[in-house]
Amino acid sequence: MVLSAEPSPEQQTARKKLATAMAMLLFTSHRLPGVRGYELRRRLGKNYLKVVESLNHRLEPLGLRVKILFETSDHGKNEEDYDRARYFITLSEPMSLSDIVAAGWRIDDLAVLSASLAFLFSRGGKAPKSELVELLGSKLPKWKVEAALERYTRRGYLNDLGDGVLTVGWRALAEVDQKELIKAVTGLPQRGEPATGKSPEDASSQSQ
Amino acid sequence: MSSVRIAKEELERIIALCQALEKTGSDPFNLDVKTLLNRLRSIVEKSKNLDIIVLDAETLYRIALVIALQHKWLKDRASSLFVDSQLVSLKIVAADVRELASAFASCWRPIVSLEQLTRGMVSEGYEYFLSLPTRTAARAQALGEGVGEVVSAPTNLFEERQVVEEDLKKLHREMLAARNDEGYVNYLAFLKAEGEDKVVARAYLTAFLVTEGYAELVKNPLTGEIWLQPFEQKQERRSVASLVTVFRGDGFVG
Repeated sequence: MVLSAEPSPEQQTARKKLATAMAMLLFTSHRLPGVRGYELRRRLGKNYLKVVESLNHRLEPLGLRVKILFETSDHGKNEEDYDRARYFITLSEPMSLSDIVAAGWRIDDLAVLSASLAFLFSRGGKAPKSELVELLGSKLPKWKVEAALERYTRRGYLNDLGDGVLTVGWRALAEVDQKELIKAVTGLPQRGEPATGKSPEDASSQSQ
Repeated sequence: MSSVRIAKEELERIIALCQALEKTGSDPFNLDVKTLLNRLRSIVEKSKNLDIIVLDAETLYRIALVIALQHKWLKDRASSLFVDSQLVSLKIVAADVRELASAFASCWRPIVSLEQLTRGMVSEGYEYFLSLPTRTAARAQALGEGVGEVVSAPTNLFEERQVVEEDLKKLHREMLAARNDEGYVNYLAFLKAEGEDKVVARAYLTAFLVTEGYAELVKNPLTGEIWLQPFEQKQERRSVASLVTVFRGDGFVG
């Protein structure tokens, strides 16, 4: 029988901080999931980024990661940027389409979200809603498109500015890799092209 | 005076143009900034009216925002991320719905979170409850009349339960008496024993007896016939499976 050594007070504090960080990141304490950097700082102290990093290492084998969503896209982040950023726990690897469908998502709805985000990303993050509806209307019934857009606006994937303009929502920025999506969509085969039997992921990696 | 009005209208038009461009996110180079600035200069030089000067400052600010958009536009185009929106639109139109969904799946890492009722949500719910309109006088009166019924309800419920228990005992005795040599009773014939009007009530009580373990329901998979097997004593049910029976008109459907 192997007896584990009693953890030192430092280890106990570190474990407690990890548990606190995990709880803060997992539980939705506001309307939106995740927490702001300054909230983590308040609970975990000024070295909260080290706690987040440590948590990230522990989550990695579980297929999870801590995602930091900054308010600005500028390079060279300072302390203030980290404080104002929002921290989430997301999956570290994408799920397969069959897993997503098994989780209750419809292929049509996913296609609407995929096309909407790809279109918005290609237009610099915003575009008139009418243009998007018209584009998606070529694939699906208009009522279905509008209902899906409404649903995704409520969920935070899209943001309706109220004057007929849609922008990319906070959830899409947190969950979707813009570069990968654009590559996957542009890598889709044209109708009539011979099928290569490759997934969009393969196509995107080839185009890199 | 009219020249001031014309200048004002023109400045407002330029502001609206810049705002529209900013909102829709279309190509900011569609707007000829140089011409607009020249026009702005000529307007200010001609008119020294205070309103015009204020509007001119606003217009200049809007044009500056357009220039900032042009800067961002160029930056985006120069970056490796830039893909022509026309190309993306074409791909979307040409692609299959499943392919689009698959493209999304390949780059989607959903947020993992737990939802629970927070103090804020409870407070919001409470505020909503308080904001609900009070009952009207008529509704309150109607409620007052119904109070007697509500008070006597437990007594009625008890009496009803007594009646149901009596009916169950009676039906169980009847079922035992109706057994054939093999100890089975035809389910449909048993339900119709008291006429068509009583079929639903007897089916309801029979279901109780079966659930309680005083009888077993057996269905012949070949003929579709359903038989009841009544027991003298309550038996422990071996199977928790339930059987749905449908009656339509005067016949048993399934």
